[in-house]
Amino acid sequence: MSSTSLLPFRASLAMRTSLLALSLGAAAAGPAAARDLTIALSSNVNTLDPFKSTTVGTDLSVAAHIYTPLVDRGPDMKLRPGLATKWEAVGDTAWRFTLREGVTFSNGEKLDAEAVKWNVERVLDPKTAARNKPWFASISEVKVVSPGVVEFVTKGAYPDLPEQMSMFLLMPPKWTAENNPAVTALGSGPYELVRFASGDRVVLKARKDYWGEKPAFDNVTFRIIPEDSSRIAALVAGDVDLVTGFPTSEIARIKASGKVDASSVPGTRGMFIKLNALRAPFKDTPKVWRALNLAIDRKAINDGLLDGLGEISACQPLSPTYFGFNPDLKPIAYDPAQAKKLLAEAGVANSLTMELEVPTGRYIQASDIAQVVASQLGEVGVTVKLREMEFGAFMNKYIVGKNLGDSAYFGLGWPTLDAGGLLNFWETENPQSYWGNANFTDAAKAARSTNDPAKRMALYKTLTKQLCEDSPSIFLFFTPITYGQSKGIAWQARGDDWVRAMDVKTR
Amino acid sequence: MRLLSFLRSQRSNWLGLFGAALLVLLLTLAIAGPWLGLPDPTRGDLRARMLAPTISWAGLGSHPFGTDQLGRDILSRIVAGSRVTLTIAGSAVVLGGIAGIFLGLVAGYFGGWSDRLLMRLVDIQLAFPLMLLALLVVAALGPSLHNLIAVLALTSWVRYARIVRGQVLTVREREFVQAVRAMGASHLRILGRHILPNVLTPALVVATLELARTIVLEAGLSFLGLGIQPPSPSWGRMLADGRTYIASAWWIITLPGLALMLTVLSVNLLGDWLRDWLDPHSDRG
Amino acid sequence: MPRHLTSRLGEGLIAIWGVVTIVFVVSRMLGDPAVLLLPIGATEEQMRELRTQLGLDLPLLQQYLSFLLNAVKGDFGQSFQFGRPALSVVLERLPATAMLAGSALAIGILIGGTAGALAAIHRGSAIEALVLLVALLGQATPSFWLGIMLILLFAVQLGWLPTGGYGTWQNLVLPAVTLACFTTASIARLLRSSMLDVMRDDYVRTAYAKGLPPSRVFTWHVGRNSLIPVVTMTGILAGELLGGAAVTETVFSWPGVGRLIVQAIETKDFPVVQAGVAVVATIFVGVNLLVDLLYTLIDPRIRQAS
Repeated sequence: MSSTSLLPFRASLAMRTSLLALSLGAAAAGPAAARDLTIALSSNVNTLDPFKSTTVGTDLSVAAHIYTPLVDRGPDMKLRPGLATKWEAVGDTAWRFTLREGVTFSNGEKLDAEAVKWNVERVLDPKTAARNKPWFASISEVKVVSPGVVEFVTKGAYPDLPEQMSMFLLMPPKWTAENNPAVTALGSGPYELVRFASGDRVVLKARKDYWGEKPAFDNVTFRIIPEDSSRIAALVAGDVDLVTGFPTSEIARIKASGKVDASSVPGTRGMFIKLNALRAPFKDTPKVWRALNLAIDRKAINDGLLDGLGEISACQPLSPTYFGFNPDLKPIAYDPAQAKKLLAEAGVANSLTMELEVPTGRYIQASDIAQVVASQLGEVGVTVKLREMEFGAFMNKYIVGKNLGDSAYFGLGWPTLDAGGLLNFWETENPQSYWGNANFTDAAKAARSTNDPAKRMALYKTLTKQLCEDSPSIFLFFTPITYGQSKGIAWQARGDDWVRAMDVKTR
Repeated sequence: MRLLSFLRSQRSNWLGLFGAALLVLLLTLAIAGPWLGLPDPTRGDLRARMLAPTISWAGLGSHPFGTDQLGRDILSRIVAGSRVTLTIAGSAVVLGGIAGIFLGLVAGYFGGWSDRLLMRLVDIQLAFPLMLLALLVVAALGPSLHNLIAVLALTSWVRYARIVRGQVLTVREREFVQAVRAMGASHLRILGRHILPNVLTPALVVATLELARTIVLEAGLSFLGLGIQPPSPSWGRMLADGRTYIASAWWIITLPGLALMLTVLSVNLLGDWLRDWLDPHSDRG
Repeated sequence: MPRHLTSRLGEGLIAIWGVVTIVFVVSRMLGDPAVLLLPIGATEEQMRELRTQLGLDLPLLQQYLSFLLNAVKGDFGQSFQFGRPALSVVLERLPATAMLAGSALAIGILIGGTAGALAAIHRGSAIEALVLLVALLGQATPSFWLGIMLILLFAVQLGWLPTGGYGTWQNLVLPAVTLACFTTASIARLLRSSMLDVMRDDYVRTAYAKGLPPSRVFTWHVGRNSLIPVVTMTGILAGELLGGAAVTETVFSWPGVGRLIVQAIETKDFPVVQAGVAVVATIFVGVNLLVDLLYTLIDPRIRQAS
């Protein structure tokens, strides 16, 4: 931590020039690797205001370089101290966080309990129209215990509040009131904003007086490259250092170029087929649900379309990364004969016709996967009509219109990597459930009402088991996150959507 | 007087004939497709993904044009795609043509407020970039086959309407039209029997050019994620879906691309030739 | 002449009004933006609250009227996604779009014009056939295919130019060429046929009969008169180049208005869709007023008529 030892000197403005010379000297003495990093993003960065976006892969990833959260989730998916050094549950309805001492925003504003309180109030204030409000809406009160200790009182239990806090990027109260945080930014993070050209790039540079671990790169540029083939071309041509999100088949090709590397990690977003169990043909037809589950050869799809890099779902919406994953459940084995038998027992042998809605532009290779699913279901005598629609149109139909077709190819991940958030989606009252089951709903509510990990774990076990046995959804796999990088860097690839320069090292 | 003899010289029309021949060949393929004994264009085999073309001097091989990212035979998809693409573009051109000819006839013949209304509609349509209009409407209505056709027709009526209106304005004043009008013929009769036949020729020329433009526009919509529903293949959709693999499996995008280009080329050649042949003095705006 | 221009201006304003009205109505058919703005799992109450904040709970007619009233003042409302005035989001992208469209148009006029004139002069020769064939191919090539091919060749293989992005002239070359492909072909074909038409006209024959030198006939009579349809076409192409370049802009990561509008349609950012299309339509109308002015300069007959 040589940088922290320099901290006292940096407070003085007059020292800046000599410090610049000092740091230049340090850079020259250090490893000769490149200190500039260019990361390609596939969607636009719309705003730098962390309260006005919930898109982790773009807006929040960029904002996380400038602003810091109380708790940080490392590339290993584990929580580690951020602005808070420790945190603990206080009963079932409160969490207490102890803040790091002496941290300020880069303009000198104090980052203390009062600042945290101000941030929560800004999110909850309807006038802010904060987009991330649903994540924090169950915080009823913020108590400033002391300048270094803050307590969140919640309506009911909030077991994954610390995880959620890893997405809560703190802003300086005074500065925010005087500036437009949509286009400019000032925080307590390792980087500061140099230039934000929406639609093109965001340029950042490392802060000299950052309180935490010094990042490996001095200058970081995010470039917006929406087209997959252009993004890969930019990597191979050396225009960018890190790209993500392309079909798995391109990994081998990128490697073959000899200039760059490519690989993948299992993602945390589970893909599944949601059956609309509220209306025909899937209302009260558990045998048909089961038959469809048996008729899909998940391994063939994973091997064929994803080069075996996806992780086949163990009959639940959770991957092993999630709290609440049920290790006793195994993937449903492919058994077309049994599927045909069940369909015949249900009286729909060779006569079942279903629509499969497929949102486009969101999930990797969605159109291809849906087409293979359709043809596999065709093998057991089910006629599938594919209905591709633009993601926004789908969400409108699915959530606002409450008018899901017979079924949909859909993906769900929960940013806190906690079973609670995900399993809620199958509760009867949830508009996204399209399945009514009183037992499941009661157990899910019980799990939500405690912060006790052991009790929750036991309840999640019964919940996932019931979801697997009733099988109103066809859990498929967790699609991989593919990435390519230049030879000079090593990204600690992660299965959630965060793309941060702090997770990149030189090599 | 080199230029005068130059002017008198017959236009070379071998290009037009070439276009016509190519189009006839494509139409034959499109119609005869199902009886050619090709593999099912919608049936894939995941173990046979992205196979390179097997066509060579020695013969066709199992997949002459290779297979796509789902292991489907590209040759049969191109043939099946010709039907889908020509159906979409053809229907759009016919629909847009009917609407445009009707509006152009009415506005040109009756003039007055109907003409002013049409011209304002034309202005609005021209000020709205076609791609954005198509995208917006498809996004609002959903990308079904019918909606695609409707949207593409919506983007093409304006060209017919302008040409037809202009044509009607000149025909209306000709002696024979004045004569039948003096004899007390009804407007419907004059329009249908005397004016319509005179505007069909330029409309036909517009139709060929619109057909070409519509095929390319459909590909653009597919690229932006609003193409036709799978598994039925259109060339535009095949191109759009294959683009990610352009460097690892060039044939997935390139071969349907060539089919599309050849078709558009032949339609345009035919259109140019038609125009020269039918109407050598037309205004080419 | 002023009266002629005033009435054209009035017609242009009607066209802009029509365009923004269509955009307003069709945007509202895209669905609810709140579901995309809030994270998945947001409650219905939270969505309702956001809709109120965005003014989407008001009656449609009231929304439309206040939109029109504000739009006249240049206020298109706050963008849902960008959190700042929609018009400034659009105007920020305008230089990039104008640069791309302008370059494509310049390439089109220069190369397309030369090729078209050559084809007309060398009528019936191999040159004419070659120009026509290349032009037709140019019009038949889907721009995204061409764009990706150019990237692979000039940026990845040869390393001469960047793969995409915005900033230097090197960034501009490939997207401008891609976008110009269709324009160039259209202008070449149009100029050729309009020159051939004019050469058939009586007054050109008369000019020859009078014994004027061919070079003078060409530049003065043929050249000038065959420009009229080309200028009309250029006016129409300008609109397409400004708003319709979304595909090229996407392939080359060019931060232009076309891609912005496409993104705004996807994310249901109504204010940006409305502002973007309104700006493009306004420029289109402006360009075509200029074209009208140009006419009177090129063609003396129009000058006399009005």
